[in-house]
Amino acid sequence: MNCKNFCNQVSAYIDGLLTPAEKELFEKHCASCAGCAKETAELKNLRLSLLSLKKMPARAGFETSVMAKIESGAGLASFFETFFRAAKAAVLVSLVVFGIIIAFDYFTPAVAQPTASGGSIAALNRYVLQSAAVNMSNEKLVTGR
Amino acid sequence: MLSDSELVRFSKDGRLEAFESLITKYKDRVYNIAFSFCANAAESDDIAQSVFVKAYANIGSFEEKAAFSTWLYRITVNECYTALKKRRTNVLSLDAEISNAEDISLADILADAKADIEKAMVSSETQNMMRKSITELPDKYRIILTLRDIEDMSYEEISRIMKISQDKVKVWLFRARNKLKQIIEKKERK
Repeated sequence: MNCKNFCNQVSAYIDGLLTPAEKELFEKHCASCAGCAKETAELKNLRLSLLSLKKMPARAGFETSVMAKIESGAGLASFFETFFRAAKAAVLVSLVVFGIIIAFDYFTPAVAQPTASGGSIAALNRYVLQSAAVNMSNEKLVTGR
Repeated sequence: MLSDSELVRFSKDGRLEAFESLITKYKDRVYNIAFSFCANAAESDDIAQSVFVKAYANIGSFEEKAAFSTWLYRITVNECYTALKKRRTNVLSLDAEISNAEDISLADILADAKADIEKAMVSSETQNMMRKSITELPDKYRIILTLRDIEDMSYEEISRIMKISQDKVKVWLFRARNKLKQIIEKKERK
């Protein structure tokens, strides 16, 4: 093990999640590397200090406050709030997708003749303009003007 | 005593007393997670209340694929993130709740190679300093550290709550602990 591997293993070591073989390698490295040994000790102590933080209990009467909110329909309001947020997101996504389709359609050259049953308005417009240009050049060839 | 899944089933049928039992069972842990996240008693109370109100509103859609507690803690994490977003727009001062006073050097505890859980018991001022340091971590590190090092949850449970792989839990935890250590050391030097 080297110092780089140590970084990947130290959390698992502190949490006791290394296999016996991995643990042995880890401890062997720490025995020969003062820096890693120091860091392991510090992180271990940090975890112990965090575990010893006083648990903060909810205040007395907490259930009563929540149940009052639920019974007054706050739960329903919260449901609708979530529903409208989801609906708003869905509308936004639809608008973006629609915009992408329109932009793609506008910037893509028409390759096939649109039919009455298929093809978009933009493609139809382009086809009409192209046909008019071809007709005009054909007319020029015939009349010589 | 009824199991969580029985209480959930009764709650889905609209029996409020069943949901009240779930509140009684989980209120302290939910509140403690919220408090570790925001270090403010009033705000933690609001978050915890909001968690249970939302849980009740959505209990019909809870499919019971995961444990009720995992689902509830997931809501808690989301509510904490939402509260943080609101707080950032309101620029609420943490100092209203937490004192900066420190009378015991945490650096001494961290540096003690033979520290055990009793030695690591820190004074209330130092606890406040630690809690304040946690709130200075980026959101994802703050929550992962809270779930693992304060709530003592397993990597598996954390990965389900945060919807990330266990490998990511390991990496984020390493970074979170290191970052917290740096923040504390910086405070100690001041």
